[in-house]
Amino acid sequence: MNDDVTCISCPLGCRIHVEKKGDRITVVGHMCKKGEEYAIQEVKDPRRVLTTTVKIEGGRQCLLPVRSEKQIPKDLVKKCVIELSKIGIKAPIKCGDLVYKNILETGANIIATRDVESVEKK
Amino acid sequence: MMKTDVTVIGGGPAGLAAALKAAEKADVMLLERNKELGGILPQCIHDGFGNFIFKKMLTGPEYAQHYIDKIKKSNIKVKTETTVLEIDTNKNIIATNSIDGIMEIQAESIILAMGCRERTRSQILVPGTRPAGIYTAGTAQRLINIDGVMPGEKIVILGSGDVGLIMARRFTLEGAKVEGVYEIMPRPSGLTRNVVQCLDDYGIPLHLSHTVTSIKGKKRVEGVTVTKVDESMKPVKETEMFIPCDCLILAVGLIPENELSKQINIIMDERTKGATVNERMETSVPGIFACGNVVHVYDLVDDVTITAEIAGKNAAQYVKEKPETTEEIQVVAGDNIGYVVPQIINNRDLDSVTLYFRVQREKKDASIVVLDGKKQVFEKKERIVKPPEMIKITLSKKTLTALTKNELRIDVRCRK
Repeated sequence: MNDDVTCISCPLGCRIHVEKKGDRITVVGHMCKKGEEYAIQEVKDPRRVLTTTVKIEGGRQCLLPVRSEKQIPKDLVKKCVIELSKIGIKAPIKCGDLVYKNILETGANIIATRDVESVEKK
Repeated sequence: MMKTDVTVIGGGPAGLAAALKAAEKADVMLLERNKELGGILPQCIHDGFGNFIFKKMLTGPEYAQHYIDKIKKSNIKVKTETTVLEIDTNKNIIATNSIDGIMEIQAESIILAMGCRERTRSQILVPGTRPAGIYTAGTAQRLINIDGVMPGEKIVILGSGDVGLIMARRFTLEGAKVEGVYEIMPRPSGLTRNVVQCLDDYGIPLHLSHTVTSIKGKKRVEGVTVTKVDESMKPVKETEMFIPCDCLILAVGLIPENELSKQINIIMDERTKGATVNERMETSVPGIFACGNVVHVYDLVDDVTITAEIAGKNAAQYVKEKPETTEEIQVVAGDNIGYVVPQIINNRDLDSVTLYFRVQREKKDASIVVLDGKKQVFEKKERIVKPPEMIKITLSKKTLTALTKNELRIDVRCRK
């Protein structure tokens, strides 16, 4: 099996060639360790960090930006966004707070990516 | 009248980092037009920030939060919802907000960190009617990520700048249909990683050498006409195609926001649309510094932070002792380079100087060469250089000390 992937780990965007012969995987064209890891992961099981917003009540703004703590399978990103569109949480929230545990059995938690103070606190 | 050592204008990533650095040695006031600090970062909810500084992929709000938390713990005097109306060369600032009214601030040093603004329809002259449903990518991003409003359901994106690519993905995840991204140039103008993770991942087509030649719709956008362009970017006859849509997103570039800088005749660089700066990020007016996207539009917020800290450090230093300008080395953009920042080196007695630039044309097996007169003093090999990806090179103390001429030229050559 042969595959070409473009690394998304940094702005360089290396074009990486991955060759799979039985159990042996060879990677050519990467410039760092991250690139090598990315390429192998990308051909085996492509994963992405999920970022979206959830509704927040009683806060100084109506949306809370969130992300998955670790990468989740690429194919599940959209499903997870839909799942998160159904929930709502209450202010105040601190950056890093847990918002949703183990989303769609991916093993990844969804966390807040900013503080949202409650309106009263002002 | 209020007095401060250093006044920072703009509370985005550049202003935050500059203010924090300056506050280590001086009294600092930070003025921000918006309700909250962070600039554009709070609406950039995607990840990919902080790779160099934090060695991990943060989202925009997280990156901003890190600096906002530090500002809260500092002695920096922050005024939000405050607009600066005027500045002068004596570092007098006139600003206004709804609490203080009109205020006068006397600073010893000013740091310009106003960021940049998106180009709009009127700057690229798209013909057609003027219906609702035409937004810049950043406005759409704000509507979706902060205000919770969807700008449309069937989307056409003109321009392949990074914000446009990010928004193509965002629209798709939020249930809209992105019909395609149309780019007038024969290459994408955003980073390759964004073409991959925002378009390819979601099967969104990218049409290069295409542009929007007409907008249809009376009250609301009903569709746009897209047309192929030739090498000189002129529309090619009989290649027009009508695409029904209710929303046109413009991702056609960013321009440094320099209305204030122009009030005091700071020397501007026509190529960057920002002020000309030296290695201390100081403009042509002594004691007035500039950093971040108001100088030139960066790819990465990490580089904004790094250069803003240089500005902050030197602004605080300027308050203590005004440095003598001993010499002036012009940094010249040579073969295949559009511009270089900083444009001037005034003091070589430094541990290092980092130069930022973009190439004009994509080249494989490139060699970046720095020339002191005819003598080559630096070389760096790159496998590939592309216009959307900013290049930085760092000249060491040894290289700087050995310079003899008052002109430093950078060329990007082909090794083969």
